[in-house]
Amino acid sequence: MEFTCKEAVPMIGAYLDGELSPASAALLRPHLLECPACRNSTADGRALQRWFTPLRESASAPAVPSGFAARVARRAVAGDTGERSAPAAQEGKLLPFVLRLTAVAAAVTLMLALGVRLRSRPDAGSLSADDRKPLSMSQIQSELDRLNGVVPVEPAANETTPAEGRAARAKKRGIQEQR
Amino acid sequence: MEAASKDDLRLVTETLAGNQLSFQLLVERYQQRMFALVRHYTRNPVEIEDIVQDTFLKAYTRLPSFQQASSFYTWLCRIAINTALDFQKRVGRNPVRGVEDPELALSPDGIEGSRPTGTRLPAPDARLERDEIARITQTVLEEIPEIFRTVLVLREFEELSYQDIADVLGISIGTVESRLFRARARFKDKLLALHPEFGEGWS
Ligand SMILES: [Zn+2]
Repeated sequence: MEFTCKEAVPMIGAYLDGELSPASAALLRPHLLECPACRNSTADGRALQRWFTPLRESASAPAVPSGFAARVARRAVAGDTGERSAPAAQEGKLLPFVLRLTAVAAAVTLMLALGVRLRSRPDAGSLSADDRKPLSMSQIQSELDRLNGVVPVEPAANETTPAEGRAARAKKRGIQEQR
Repeated sequence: MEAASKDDLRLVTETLAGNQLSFQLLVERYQQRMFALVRHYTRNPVEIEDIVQDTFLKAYTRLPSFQQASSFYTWLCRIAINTALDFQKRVGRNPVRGVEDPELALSPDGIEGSRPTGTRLPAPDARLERDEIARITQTVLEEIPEIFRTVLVLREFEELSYQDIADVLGISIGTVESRLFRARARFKDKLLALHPEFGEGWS
């Protein structure tokens, strides 16, 4: 029974990942020796792996905000299930809510403007103070917590570095690079 | 399948007994990896934080159903990915998922890439900065359908074994293999489409 490129090509990824069964690897290896096209595909797969390394090791992974775990644990115990509204219900509620919010904001702005006019001394600081990014739910919660004096300022949590876990996992996975 | 570590199991048991600090320690143990995972679904730091937070809140709620034979981490990954996708649907963003069913399309004759294509993708040029490569890779990942992006993320960034990926996604190992195969072909095609300068003909 002949082992063809059509059978070989789909195995190459698993071969490079160290995930090919010994039986399949025993079929693939002799084919690679005699088939330049599949050798090229193997080189391609290896080259592709190198496109992922920098992002995997990149230090640009988002930082965990300090106090995150304490906040989440408190909310969990307080009964927040993390389940947010279904899409339809959410959209249905969100728009009127935003409109109401906008109306309130407009009214407040108007009153502020009138107040400022009456005082006849516009203050750039107070006018731009509302120009902030919208807060996330967790930010709002942490603001509330802070106002309630619940949250002490905490140092960043100690963690194992991702690299340690990675090294352990890589070892477990076995040798990935073949000559 | 990797069983949960003893430490994780102890914290899970203590959490179930009502110990808030034990759950906080579980969160601390996995929060960095969850932030790193979720960034592949949105770049907005506020959204990332919300999604990771909801992931842990759901995990807490579902902790009684956690099967101790599986690893806590792969269990969390599954919740995080679903939460990220639900979030995108909720805010009306299309996560580019399910536009095609890779399994249905995977007839033996229909495998894309089963013949060598004319353009080969070399390893990144040594002159490129690592940050630049990382940026390009992230952009390409964001451009491919979610079903392929997820399997690549689990393999290339979370470095999960095929078995663990199968557990996270609830699919067979054979499906992991074929989906990864197609995902890599997609990644390569998209990379070359966005950056034809990186391609080279077969030598
Ligand atoms: Zn061949």
